[in-house]
Amino acid sequence: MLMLSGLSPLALQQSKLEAQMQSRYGEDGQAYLNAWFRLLDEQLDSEINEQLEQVNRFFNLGITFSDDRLLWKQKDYWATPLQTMGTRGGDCEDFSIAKYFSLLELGIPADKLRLIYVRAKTPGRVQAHMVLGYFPSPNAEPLLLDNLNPNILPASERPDLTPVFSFNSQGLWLGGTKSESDPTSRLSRWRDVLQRMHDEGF
Amino acid sequence: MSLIKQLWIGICLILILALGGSFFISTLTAREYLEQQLQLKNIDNATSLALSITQMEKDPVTLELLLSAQFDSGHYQSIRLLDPEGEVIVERHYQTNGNTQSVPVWFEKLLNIQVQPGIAQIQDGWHQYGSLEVISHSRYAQQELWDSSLRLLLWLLLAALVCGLIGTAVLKAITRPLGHVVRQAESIGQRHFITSAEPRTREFRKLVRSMNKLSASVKAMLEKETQKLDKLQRESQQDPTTTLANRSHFLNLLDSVIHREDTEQNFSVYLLRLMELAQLNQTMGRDQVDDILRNIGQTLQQQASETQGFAGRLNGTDFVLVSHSDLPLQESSEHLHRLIDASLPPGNAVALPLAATQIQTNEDHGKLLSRLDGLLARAEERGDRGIQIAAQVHSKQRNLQQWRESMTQALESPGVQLGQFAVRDHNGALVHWEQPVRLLLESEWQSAGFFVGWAKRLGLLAQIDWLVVNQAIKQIQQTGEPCAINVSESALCDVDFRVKVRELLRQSTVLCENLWLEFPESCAIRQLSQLKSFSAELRLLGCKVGLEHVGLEFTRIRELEGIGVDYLKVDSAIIRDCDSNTANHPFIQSLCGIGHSLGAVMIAEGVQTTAEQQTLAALNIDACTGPAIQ
Repeated sequence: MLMLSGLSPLALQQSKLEAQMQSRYGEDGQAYLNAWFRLLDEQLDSEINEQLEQVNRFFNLGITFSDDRLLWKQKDYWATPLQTMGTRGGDCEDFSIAKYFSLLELGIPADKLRLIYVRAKTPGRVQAHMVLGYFPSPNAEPLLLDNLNPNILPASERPDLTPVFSFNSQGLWLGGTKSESDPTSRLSRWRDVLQRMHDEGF
Repeated sequence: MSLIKQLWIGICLILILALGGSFFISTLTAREYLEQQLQLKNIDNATSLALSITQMEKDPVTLELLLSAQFDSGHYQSIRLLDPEGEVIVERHYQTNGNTQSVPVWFEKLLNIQVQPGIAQIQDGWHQYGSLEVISHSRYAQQELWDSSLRLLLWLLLAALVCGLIGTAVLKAITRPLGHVVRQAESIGQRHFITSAEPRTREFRKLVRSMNKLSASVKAMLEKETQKLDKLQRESQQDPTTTLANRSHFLNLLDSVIHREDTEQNFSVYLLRLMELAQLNQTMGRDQVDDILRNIGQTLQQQASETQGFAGRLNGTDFVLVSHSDLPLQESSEHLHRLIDASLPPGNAVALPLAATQIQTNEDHGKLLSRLDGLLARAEERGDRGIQIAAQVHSKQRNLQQWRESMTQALESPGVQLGQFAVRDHNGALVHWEQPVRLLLESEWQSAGFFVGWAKRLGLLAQIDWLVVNQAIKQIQQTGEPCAINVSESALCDVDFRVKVRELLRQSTVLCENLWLEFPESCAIRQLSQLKSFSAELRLLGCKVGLEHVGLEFTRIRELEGIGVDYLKVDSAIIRDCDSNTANHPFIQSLCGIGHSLGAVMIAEGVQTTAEQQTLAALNIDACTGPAIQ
């Protein structure tokens, strides 16, 4: 009971999302959203590894990395999957969030997924980064879905990354079961995204 | 339901709705706020604690210590650390030691603060270490919610009280004029045409203005009718030269005095004769003689009204005065002569002999006049100002002290009794029993005429009337039949009497509708304001109010429409011989017209024969009393 389950495919309000996309980003956004819906439809019954692979590729290929300062005119902005798909751009958090919710849609339980803050050593510099981790079993090492490295690799094969902290939407995401209009949720970035997604129809 | 009650219920409903609504909204808002704050605390504390644990060595002792430190120094209901399989690694749970708070169980059930636990993930390198679940204490919040609700309720009740008081005051201010308007409307409904001051509220003002107009028009109509009546009275009852009562009217008045129950004794009659009128006319001229006649008439009229008597001109030369005086006849006769002389031109040669006697109860007026005639013949022999008086006849000489003693004695025991005379309408149905007072004096139940003069002088009338009212109430209680009693002018003017009667009647309002109270016509002239207010009070209680012995001074009554009368009893002097003498018919008809327009029942007093009764019925009299009515 305490581990409130993640999003179920049923919670998606397809028409509402389409209307939002159409009005905000036009035909182009609409086409990408339809592609995403198709992806979800096709992959619903696939193997987990296939699901991970397809989702990872869908976003890594379709979305261009772009800095929040350029895209959103803010130092740090967490975009909802709809915004990410509409603008076809985003930074590491936006990639991770979009993949996280796509996988939830495909029926992967929330307690197997973590958004992980990592310290990434790239040639020349060390940067703050975020990846999505999939834990096949509670005690196993995670598979990492990253936008820097397009391949899905176990954590042990990514010496360039050092984990710092992880979180997921357990205990927060009520998945459209009731209208959560708690004004304090806007004060937390993570809860803010969840809230905005909820408003958009996820 | 009265308007005030309805408005009150409206105010109460609005108050309950507004204050109750704000109470619930405030309480629910407070609960929501507290829940949000607790939720934030749960999430934030769980995340920061998870962050700390993720960054450090995870040996069991350090973990225990870290969680204990957080738990013991903070305000938590429980902190649990679960491994990825969901097994508990460390758990801290707050043990309530005794119930230290005062929140009632029902309140906790009704407004339970529900907060989701804060959950955060702990990492050990790339591996999951577990998840942390933090629940803050919500009991203090519950307590706070309870306390603030109580405070709020208290303030709202206070506000409701203040609003209620203000509402009452406002309501009173608004409806005060309404009360006056309703009272006036009711009065007019009972043909009691009063006018009242115009209130400030526009709608009420219009209403009052219309009613005042109605009252004014009735008043004007009555004045016109009264003037007509006055003219009729002059034509049918007055001697044209002297304006004294003419022969037939005087004799009626005399009969009425002789036979009336409550006429005081000690009435004296004076007969004056202007000698040799024809010769005077020749020597002085008709105009001058008419002046003399008028002067004599005026003097007698003045004397009559001062002594509550009356005067008349029996024929060209004979004048009569009936008056009430305590002086011996000889002295009062001389006094009368002096008064007349003062009014006549000096040095005149008018011979004016005078005879005087006392009225004996139930003496026939023919006998009385022939007795006076005899006396006057002897007075004539005594010169121009000759006086002859009849020997004083006193059944029993008593002085004031003796009267006081015997009357006080009688009032204490056995008290008063009431006589009983039927007042019936023309179909024979009982209108009421007229019940004059009887007092046991000289071992006989005496009628009012026997003692009323002395009682008045001794100031006992109010007390007697008070006993009569009591007796009447007692009797109505027993028989349930309508009963009419007389109230004297003295009693009417006695504040104490009025207050006592009002209180008595208030205790037995069911009996009031059978109680008829009648006042002498003179009260409506001399004690108008008292009569008006007392009549209004009595009528409000359901009593019937009327005037008795009406007719002689009727045209002098002002504002009859303002007194509010249920019935008028027409004096027997006006009724007398109406079957054979048509002179008074127009007068009686007009009187009935006025009475009926005020909604009053017209009753004839002293009806002697069925022939009279039939004539009266044709003249619009409603009911009769007297020897002919059984």
